[in-house]
Amino acid sequence: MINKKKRNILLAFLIPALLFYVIFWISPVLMSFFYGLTNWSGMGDYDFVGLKNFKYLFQEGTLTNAMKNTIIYAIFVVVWGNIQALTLALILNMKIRAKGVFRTIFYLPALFSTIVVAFLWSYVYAPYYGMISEVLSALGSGAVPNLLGSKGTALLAVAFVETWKTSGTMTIIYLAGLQGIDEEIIEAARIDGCSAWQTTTKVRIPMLANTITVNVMLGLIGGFKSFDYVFALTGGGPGSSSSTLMYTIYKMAFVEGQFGKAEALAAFAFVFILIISVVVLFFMRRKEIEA
Amino acid sequence: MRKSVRKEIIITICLALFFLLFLSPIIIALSGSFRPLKDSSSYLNLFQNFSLESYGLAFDKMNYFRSLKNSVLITFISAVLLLLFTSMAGYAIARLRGKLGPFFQIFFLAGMIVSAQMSIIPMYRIVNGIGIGNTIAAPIALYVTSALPFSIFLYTNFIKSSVPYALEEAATIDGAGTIRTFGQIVIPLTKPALTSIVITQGVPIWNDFFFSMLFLSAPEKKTLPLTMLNFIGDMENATQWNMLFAACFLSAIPILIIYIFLQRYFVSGLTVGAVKG
Repeated sequence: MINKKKRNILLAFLIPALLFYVIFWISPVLMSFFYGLTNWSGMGDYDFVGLKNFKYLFQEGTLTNAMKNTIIYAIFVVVWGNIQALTLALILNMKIRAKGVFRTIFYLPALFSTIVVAFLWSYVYAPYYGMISEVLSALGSGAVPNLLGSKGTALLAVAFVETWKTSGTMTIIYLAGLQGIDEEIIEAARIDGCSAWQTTTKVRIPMLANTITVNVMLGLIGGFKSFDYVFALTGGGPGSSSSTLMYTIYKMAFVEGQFGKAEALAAFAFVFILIISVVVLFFMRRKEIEA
Repeated sequence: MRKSVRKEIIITICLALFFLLFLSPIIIALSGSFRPLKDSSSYLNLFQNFSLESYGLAFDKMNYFRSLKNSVLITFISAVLLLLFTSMAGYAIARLRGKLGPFFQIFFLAGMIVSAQMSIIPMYRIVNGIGIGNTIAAPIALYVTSALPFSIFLYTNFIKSSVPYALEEAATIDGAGTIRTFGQIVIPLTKPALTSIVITQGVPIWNDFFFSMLFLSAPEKKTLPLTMLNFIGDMENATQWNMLFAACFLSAIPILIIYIFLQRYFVSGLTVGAVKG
């Protein structure tokens, strides 16, 4: 009797969240998948075209290009982001008197809005008067790099901005992981004759397996969903050399009026991100147990 | 002993140099923002001028106080609703018996894979269909919704690991109903998780421009990050950068102040969900 009443109250507790989630999150996605099978432009009438949109995306190379860019972007964010954050956390975890100051300032980039960060970095990358150009010319180099304007560098230049912005969050998570390690274990390793380098690589880092999983997943999902910096820094260009999945979907749907095709791409992206996330998570959990 | 002091000094100097380089975009922008508009010398000549001219211009162009008010209002309402919905749903998921709890946990978690860009047009139509298009209710609804998957996941795990069920049972025996148990026992015990949700989700909501760009076209409803979009055209114009830098700082000042005063909550808040995984 009491249990049944409690159960009903608990079910009622779910209602507000469930309503918002279904109305604003799940139903738009399901509608999108449906539109992916049509030639809808975003307005007016439409016809069913079956899997034609997918065929088009493959043949035009849109899908391959967006996938390739997104994978490169995500790998860069995961690898460089984690190297940067782990190194920073290991250093900030040392016993230094001034670490309070450093621990305050390393998080600053994470506080700025993505649009502000995009402004700061478009200055850094700007040819001639930008920071990189000016430093190079101060050093006597005549080179005027245009990192955002060259096909070969635009994508990684954008991805680098993302790692700059997320480094604070990743570092805090690593710092917490490091502080969770029992000092006695480190002490024991030292007594057994481990050098500082060995205690770091053979003891501390393996014991961070859990934390590494969290940060890899954060980087991966952030990388796959990358949109803001592409939108504000390059607009996917030059050409489509920095067009990621999310940006391509946005542009096709909103700018080019090819909503059906955009949604076919979205359905593809959804399945792709789902599979990769599950596979990576499974693989990392196994590594955690081994460690 | 002396050797370790020397080591510490070297590490400190290296770290200081690293952070100088790492934060150089912010430092140069800060110096640039204090330059008068006409100063077009190299940005690397740091802090050689002091003028508030650029700030004045950016302040007017952003319609600062109005945008600030909109940002505060939208972020505040979103955070309150998010905390309310998350704690209720998270508690239900953690305590529902049988398969319902785990089912809803995965159902909400799956939302993390979705990105708003994937389904903007249906989203847009639903928002307009409900009749909240071009009101602040539209971005608020989407901020709350898009933050639910992660928040509910974090909150449910926190209850399972840190709120002893025996305590709730004791309250029930003493005659407290479910709602009272939730309000007087669960909520106070889950304050760290709630702080964490405010920090991890509130800062991105405060900083977001995407949903407000989609749903708020009226100038009087614009938020701070949205007003920054007005400056995108000025990026091409090398002579406007002093004002752009000032706008960047004007838009960041509120959150920087909050960070300085509540720094320890930022650190603890970001790690609550992450370390337990």
